[in-house]
Amino acid sequence: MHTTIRQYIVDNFLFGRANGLSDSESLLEQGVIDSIGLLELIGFLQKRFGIRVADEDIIPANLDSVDCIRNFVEGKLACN
Amino acid sequence: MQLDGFLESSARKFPGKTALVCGDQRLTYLQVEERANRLAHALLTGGVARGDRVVVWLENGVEAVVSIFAILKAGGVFCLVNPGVKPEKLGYIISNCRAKGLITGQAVPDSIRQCAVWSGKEDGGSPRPPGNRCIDVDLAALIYTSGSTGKPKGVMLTHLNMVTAANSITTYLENRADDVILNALPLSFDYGLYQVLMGFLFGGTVVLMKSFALTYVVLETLMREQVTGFPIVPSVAAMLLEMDLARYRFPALRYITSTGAVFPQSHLARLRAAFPGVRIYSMYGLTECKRVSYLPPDQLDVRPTSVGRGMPNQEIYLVDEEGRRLAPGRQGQLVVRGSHVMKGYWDSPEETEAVLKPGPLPDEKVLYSGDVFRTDEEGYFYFVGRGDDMIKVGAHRVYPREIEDVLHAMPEVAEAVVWPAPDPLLGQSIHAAVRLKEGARVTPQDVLFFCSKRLESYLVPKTVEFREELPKTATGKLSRRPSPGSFSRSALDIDAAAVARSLEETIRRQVRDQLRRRGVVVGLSGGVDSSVVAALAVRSLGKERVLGLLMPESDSSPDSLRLGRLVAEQLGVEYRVEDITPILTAAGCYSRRDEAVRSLIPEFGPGWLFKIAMQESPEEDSYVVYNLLARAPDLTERQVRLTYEAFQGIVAATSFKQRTRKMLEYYWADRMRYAVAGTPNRQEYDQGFFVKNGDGAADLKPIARLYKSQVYSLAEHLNLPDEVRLRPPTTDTYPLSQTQGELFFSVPWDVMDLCLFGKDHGAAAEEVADAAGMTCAQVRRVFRLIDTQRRAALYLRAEPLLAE
Repeated sequence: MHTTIRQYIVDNFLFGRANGLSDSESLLEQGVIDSIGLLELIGFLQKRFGIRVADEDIIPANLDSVDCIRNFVEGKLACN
Repeated sequence: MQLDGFLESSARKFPGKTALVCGDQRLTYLQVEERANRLAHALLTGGVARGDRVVVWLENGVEAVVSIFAILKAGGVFCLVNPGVKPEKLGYIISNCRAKGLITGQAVPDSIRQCAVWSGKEDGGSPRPPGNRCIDVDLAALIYTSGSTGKPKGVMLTHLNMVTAANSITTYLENRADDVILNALPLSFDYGLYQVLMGFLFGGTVVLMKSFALTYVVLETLMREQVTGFPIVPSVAAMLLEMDLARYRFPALRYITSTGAVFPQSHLARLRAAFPGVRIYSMYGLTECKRVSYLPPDQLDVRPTSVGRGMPNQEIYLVDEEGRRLAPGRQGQLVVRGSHVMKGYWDSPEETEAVLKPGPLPDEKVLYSGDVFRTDEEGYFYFVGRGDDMIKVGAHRVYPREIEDVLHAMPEVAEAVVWPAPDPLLGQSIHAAVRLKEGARVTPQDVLFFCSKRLESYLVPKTVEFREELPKTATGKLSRRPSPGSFSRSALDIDAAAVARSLEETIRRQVRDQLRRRGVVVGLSGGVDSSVVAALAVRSLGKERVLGLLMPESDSSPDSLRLGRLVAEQLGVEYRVEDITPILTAAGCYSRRDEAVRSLIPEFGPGWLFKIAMQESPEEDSYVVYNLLARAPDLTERQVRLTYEAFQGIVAATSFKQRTRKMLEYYWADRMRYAVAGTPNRQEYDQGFFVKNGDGAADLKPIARLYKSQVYSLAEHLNLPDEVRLRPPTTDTYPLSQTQGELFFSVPWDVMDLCLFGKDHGAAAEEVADAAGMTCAQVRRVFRLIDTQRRAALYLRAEPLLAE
C-alpha cells in the first residue's frame, strides 16, 4: 500500500521524479499538492482502496504526507 | 593561470588590436601591456612585494585598468574603491587591509595616514614584464562590500577564484575575440571590473565610460563603437527606455546583461522592442564568488523571475536550516560550490566562518549565501528573500548598521533604525526611522543632508521619518521592522491623481509607440477593474479611441450589462453589445459543463442553478476544499464536495466564456487596428486568477500592479458611478451569483490585499494579523495559499516554449 500511494503521488504530482521526497514531508508545504490535487488524491484513494473519504476526514493530519495517508487508509480499512 | 596572464596572453596574440577605448584614448593590447609593465616596475621600486595590498582610487579610465594589471604583475593584491568613497571609509579600508600604497589622481585626504601614493601614470620603468611572482592560490584582489557590523569587509579573491569566474561567464555569454564590450559600471563594482578582465581574457575590445549619466552619449557610443556586449543594471534599463530609442540602431549588439535585481517585466518588452534580436541575460551574483547563476535568454519569457540554474563549472544547491541538501521544488538557503568561491573576509574570521562552511570534500569550503531561494520542478532557482537584515538596493548590498551608525553620529538624533522599503525600480530602498533628542529642531532633509556628506549615494536613505518611539524587539533592542502598529491598511494608500497620470502616460506610450495601434478595446463587465481601465484609456487616448465591448451570456448577472452600459455612456465611448450565448451554446460550453455537474447531481437540468464555492475553514492547517452548491427549481439547495473530474470538467468548459470574449475583443481590435487592454488587478495577476488565453491574454495590462484597494481609490478619483465603485468584486462566472472571495480567496478582497502586500514587503504574520484583524495562524495560512497559487500561475503566464 505504501508503494502504491507513494508511486501515485510521484507519478501524478512530481511527474515521475521523486526528487528525494520523504514519506514524512508535508505535501502541501512542499508544493506537491494544491487544492485541486487534493480532490484528485481523494478520488484516487476512494477508488483504489474502496474507502469513503468523508468531509471531516479532509484534514492535513490524514492527508499531508505519504505516511499520514497510509495511516489514514489503514485506519479506514480496519474499520470496514 | 594567473589573472594578469589575461593581458599578457592577449598582448602576445593581438598586439596591435584595440584593447581599451576611454574617451578619445584608444590603446592597443601592446600599449596597455607596456604601460602596466612600466607601472609594475614603479610599484616594485616603491616597495610593493608579493601579497601586498594596493588600493586604487580612480574613476573608470586607462589608469585604473593599467593599475589593476600593474599591481598583479608586481605580485600585489589590488583593491578598487568606489570613486565616490568618503574619506572616512577610504581611510578605514586603507588601514583595514594594511595597504602598501594608494594609486589615485586626487589629493589624498589629510585624515589618511601616510602611505605611498602613485598616480597610475608612472612610465619610467621598463616596458618588459617584471616576471611572475605569484601562483594561482595567491590573492589577486580584495573587494570591499557592505558588512553586517556596519564596517565594510574585504572579500579575498585568489587568481584561481577570478580566473574560474571569468572562464564560466565568458563561456555562457559565448564571448569571442571580436566582441566589443561597453562598460559604464564602476570598476569598484565587481560586475564592472569583470567586464575588463573578461574582455582581456578573450582578446576583445573594452569601451570604458565613467558612468551612465549621459544616456545619449552611452547610446551614441554603442552605435559608434559597434558594441556587441552591453552590461547594465535594471535602473539603467529604465533610464535607457526614457530615451527615444527609435532614433538609434544597434546592428552589432549581440547581448545585454543585467544583474542586481530581477529584471522588471515591464521593461523587458520595451527593451526587446528597442533592441530587436539582442539576447538578454538576467543574472544573479555575490561578490563572494562573483557570479552564481544566469537565466538563459530563451527562459526569460518562460520564467522571468528565475535567476536560472547556475553557470558552467560550479554547483549550486539549497539547504535547510541544518545544512541538509534539499531536492528540487523546495525552499532553502542557497549554497555555492566551486573554485570561484572566495577565501574569506580579510581579517574577519568570525564573519568568514558564518558563510564559508565545510563542503562535500575534506577541507573544502562552500559558500552559504544567506539568500533564500526556491526551485521549481525543473531546477530553476527563484530568489525568495534574505535570511538577515541585509537590504538589496539595486545591485548594492546594504547592511542597516552602517547607515544607523552615521545617523547616530548626528547630534540631534537620539535613536535611529533602518529598514527596507519597496521600490519599483531598485527592488528595495532604504527607509530610516529616527527619534530625535528632546528639543532638537531639524527636518528630515537635514538628516538626509547629514547622511549624504558621510555615505556614498546608494547608502543614503531615500526616506526619513521622525517618530516619538521606535519599534523594539522583545528583548528591548531596536527592531529593524516597522513596529506592529505601523503596518496598517494605510500602507496601501496611493496618491490616486499621481498614479492615474502615470498610468495614462504609460498607456499612451504603450499603445502608440510600442504596440503602434490606434486605440484600445476594453471588455466592460460592469466591475471596477474594467471600468477603471476604460476610464484611464479615455483620459490617455481620448474617448474616440476607446471601444467598449459588453459581452453578456446567459449566466451573466443583469447588473453586468446595465453597469457596463452606464460606464460606457458616462465615459462617452463607443460601445457594442455582443451576446456570446449563441457562440457558447454552439461550442458546447453549457452542455459540457452541465454534464460534469450531472456526474455529481444526476437530476441537475433546466431550471437549476449552481456555483463552485470554497468551503470556509478558519483552521490554520486546514485544506481548501471545493464544493458544488446547487439550487433546484423548487429552491431547495444541495452542497456536494467536488470530485477532481467534475471540477476540471466544469472549469474547462466554463473557460470557453473568457476565451470567447477575448476572441471578440481581438475581432474588433483587428478591424480597427486597436490594441486589447486586459483588466486584471494585482491580486488576479499575481495569483493567476484568469483563464489562460482568455482574460489572461491582452496587449497591455495597465492595472496589473495595483492592489484591489488601490483600484478602488482610482475609481473614486476617476469619478466612476457609485454603483460601480461600491460593488464588491464578483466573478459572474456561474449561474448562481458569487463573490470572488467564495471562489478565489478564502478571505475578503481587502484582507487579501493586506496579506499580499505584507507578504511581499517582508511584514511578519503578526503585523498583518494586527492590521487585518485576523489571527497569526490565519495569516500564515493565507501566506501559504498565496505561494501555492503563485506556483500554479507560472504555467498560466508562461508563453509558448520554442525548441532551439
